[in-house]
Amino acid sequence: MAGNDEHKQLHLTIVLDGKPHPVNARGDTLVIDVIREALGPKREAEAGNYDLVPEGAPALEPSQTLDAAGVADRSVLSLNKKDGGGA
Amino acid sequence: MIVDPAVARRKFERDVRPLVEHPDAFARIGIRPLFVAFQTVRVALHWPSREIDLGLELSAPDWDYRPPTVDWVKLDGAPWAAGEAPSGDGFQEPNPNTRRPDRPWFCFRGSLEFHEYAGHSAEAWWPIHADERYRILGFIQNVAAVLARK
Repeated sequence: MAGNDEHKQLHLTIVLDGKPHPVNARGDTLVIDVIREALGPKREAEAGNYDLVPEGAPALEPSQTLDAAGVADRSVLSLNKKDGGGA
Repeated sequence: MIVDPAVARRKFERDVRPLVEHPDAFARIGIRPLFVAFQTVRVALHWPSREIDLGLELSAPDWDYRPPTVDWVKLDGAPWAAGEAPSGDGFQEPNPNTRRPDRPWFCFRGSLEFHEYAGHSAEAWWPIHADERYRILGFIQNVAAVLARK
């Protein structure tokens, strides 16, 4: 949907494995696609096992777009494995 | 110490650099750096359900040949009372059969207490030591995520 001004480019920071990564995505991008991109080609198949969590809020719904989920420009999000914790 | 301190320091400082260079980004996901200097990292982790901050301290004198010891602490580094620490989901009570007979310990890959636990003889540190999920900052992010869900 190039040229659709309703969906602005969002400049996000996603923290994965203890490292912040800049990620640029349009507001109409699905959360699950942002997770795939952040995980990269080696781990994108595991995207369903991860939560994308904005500051001070519950994990985003993967099937929502960033706009629908209320993600603001310049947000910092934590990308966490759902079953993280004790082994 | 097992590792040449100069080598351990160089690797430690390389690994914790994102926390030092981007403290605001970490703070916005509930990880507030309090003290970072070889061989110790201490952060405040937010525990939303209790509306308090807990100190988490990692000490890694032999980084990265051995993983860090990990403790809940007060924000000034003083020991945290065992009975007040989170429990479950890998947050373990003191156990006389571990390195931590009198303190809570972390049953998480990437902590010395996990890898040296007798029941984890098949869970050696070395095969996973290069995996960022289990190194110092990946470990801290994982603990913060689990704490936020409790």
